[in-house]
Amino acid sequence: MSESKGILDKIENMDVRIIYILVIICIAIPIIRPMGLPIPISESTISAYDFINKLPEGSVVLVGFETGAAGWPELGPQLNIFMQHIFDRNLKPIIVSGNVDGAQLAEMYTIPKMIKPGKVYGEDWVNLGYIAGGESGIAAFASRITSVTPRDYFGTPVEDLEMMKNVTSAADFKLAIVCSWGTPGHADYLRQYTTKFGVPLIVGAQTTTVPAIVPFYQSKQVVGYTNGLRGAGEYEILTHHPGYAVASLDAASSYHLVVFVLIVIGNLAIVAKRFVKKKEGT
Amino acid sequence: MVDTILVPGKTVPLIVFLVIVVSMYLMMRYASKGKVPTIRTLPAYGAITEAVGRAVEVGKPVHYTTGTYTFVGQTAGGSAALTAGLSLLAYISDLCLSKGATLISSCAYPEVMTIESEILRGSYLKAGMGDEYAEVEHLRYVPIVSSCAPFAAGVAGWIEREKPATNFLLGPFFFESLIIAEAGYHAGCFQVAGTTSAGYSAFFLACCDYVLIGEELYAAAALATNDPIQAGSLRGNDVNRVWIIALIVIGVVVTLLGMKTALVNLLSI
Amino acid sequence: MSFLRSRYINVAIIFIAAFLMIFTYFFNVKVLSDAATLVQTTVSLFAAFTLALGAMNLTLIAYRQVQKKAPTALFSVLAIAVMLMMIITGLIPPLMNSPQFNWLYNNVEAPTDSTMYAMMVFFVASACFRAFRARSKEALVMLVVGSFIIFTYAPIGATIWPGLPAIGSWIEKYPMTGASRGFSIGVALGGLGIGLRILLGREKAVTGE
Repeated sequence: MSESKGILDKIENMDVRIIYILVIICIAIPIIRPMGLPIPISESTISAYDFINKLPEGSVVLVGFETGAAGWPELGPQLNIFMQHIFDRNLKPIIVSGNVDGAQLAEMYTIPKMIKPGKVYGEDWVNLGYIAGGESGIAAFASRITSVTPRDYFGTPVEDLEMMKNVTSAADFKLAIVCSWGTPGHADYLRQYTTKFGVPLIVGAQTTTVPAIVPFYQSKQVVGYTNGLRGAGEYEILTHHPGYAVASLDAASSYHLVVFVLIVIGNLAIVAKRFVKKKEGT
Repeated sequence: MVDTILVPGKTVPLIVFLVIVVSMYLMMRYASKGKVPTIRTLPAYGAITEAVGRAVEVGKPVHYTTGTYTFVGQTAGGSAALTAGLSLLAYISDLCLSKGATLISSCAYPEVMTIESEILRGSYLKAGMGDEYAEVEHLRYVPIVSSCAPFAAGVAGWIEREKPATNFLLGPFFFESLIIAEAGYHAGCFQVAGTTSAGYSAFFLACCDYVLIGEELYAAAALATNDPIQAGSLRGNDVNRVWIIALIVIGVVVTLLGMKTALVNLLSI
Repeated sequence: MSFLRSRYINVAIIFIAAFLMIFTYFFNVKVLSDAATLVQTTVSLFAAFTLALGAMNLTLIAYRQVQKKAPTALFSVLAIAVMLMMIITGLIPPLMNSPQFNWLYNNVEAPTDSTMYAMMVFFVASACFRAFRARSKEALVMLVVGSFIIFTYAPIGATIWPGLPAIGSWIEKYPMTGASRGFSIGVALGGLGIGLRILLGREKAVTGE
């Protein structure tokens, strides 16, 4: 009996290295050998997709690359597929970032992959670079774009950019999209763009921030959102551009499954210990 | 003239804002005149003394961090929680000195480091030990710019090596919350944490012994400073909550009566 | 210069800046709106300068570490060396896009940053294994709800049973949203209280008193 109790203790207090090894195996196998699990599409992703689809061609869309290199694995696929859809629909994105390397990540990882042939910088998209100051910077940018970004990411004066000739403030944006890993985040964009200028907002969210976004989605302040890597995969399927996110979802599924199995094992160990204790007591 | 001066759609928000600010101000004023409200005891706040006592028994330092926010720039939105964290730092620093524990604080920004240095120096001076305070020994600066990953790595590594007895994580946090809390758990630290972010509170709940969730962080800061103004401000929060609940009930009743559009139009004046 | 450290000057600056921001949110007065935009732009400038302040502070601390022959002095020197390397390569034309800078960013900064974030995967697994234990009624409720949410977010949930994401979505839409709203309202009111105290000069933590 005490032997079984010892085993149960070991299971209940499992060495974390065993957990880590199980996680590595369960993530690696689906990546090496994809399973092709079906991916149901969330209503919030469909809302975001439909909204962008309904925008007239040539509409100016603000895209906030509010992430750094650390958040890129989760937010990068969302930003990439949003930009791809925007270019497909011939909308005109303005790239900004309140994070020091967000605009650079856009130039290094998004534009080279997602740009369509025939698109000309300055006419079809612009990158206005880093906006210092967090929400204050965003507020100043929204009131008058050239107040904090008189030049674009490459140093060209904003007045010289063809696309920016009739775009002076947030009132000229038809949509704002933000993918943020913290700050500036959806709350900052909601306050400075949506509430002040009535710009509709789509959020590419990290899974940890979804509970904070759902209330705004229900009250229609946020017109749609994508939920982490899964949301990016759903959007890739909707836009018929399956890519990195779809490929990663099998691994995400097996990871969730292994976490659930570990939780069940831990609880079974507790129940079994109680049972053994009761039996020992009688 | 009124229409052009007042931004369209902001009449009701202005009224709500004025009501909230005036009631909060009145409660702070009453408290400063002696009508200090009682704040219920928070288990996590009570655990602070236990945590410091544990550090004294074991003879290991107390580690404190307010996270990776600052007062300017992209993380200025967490200023309120950071202010609460700094108030608690002052309290815990005084407590450590009175009990003979060593406090070591990690910070990520130079402006926060300056304020923490002033707070710690003030504690040492108050305890009559001004000569014993050395910024290099009691403050760890782990700089970040674009990501809190370096801070998480630096602090987690330090905790793994030094194995402090107690780990306080009080303030606004990003994902470094889980990494530091998990490192503290594996190092065997007694951990008390608190943050205003719902998503990251969940990480603390999984790894720490006691957690201050959301507004409890502000309440703990009010308890720690023993400042009647802070206590009055908490009472102001409670009064404002009554208004907000009343508005919610009115909204629910109006919606059930089928007058939602009229209400939305009224709120959009 | 001591008047610049005066509490009254600090509080006056805070009050004027905050009043401008709040007033221009509700009212349309051109002069004040322009002043508010000027304040916001100035704050952006200050924020940019704090980056330089951080670099200077790091150098100063590394110098002190080396002076005191601290055990981590070598790592401090390494940090300064890497910082200088990024600054120098970033200044090579084209600015911030030189091949050297891009190489350092792609092969040093981005992988190390991403790795730290990716470590969360392991920590979440071990934290879940420890935290989701049905030791009490509340913990059992958390376990059940957490399980539904796990399978709502995982695509495999719908494959196992369509009811799993359906129930999880209901939990996300109603109880979780209600709790999230209450949480946000409480935190916002608390933040407003602290903001009001800072505005009135009654918050000592900000000035380090």
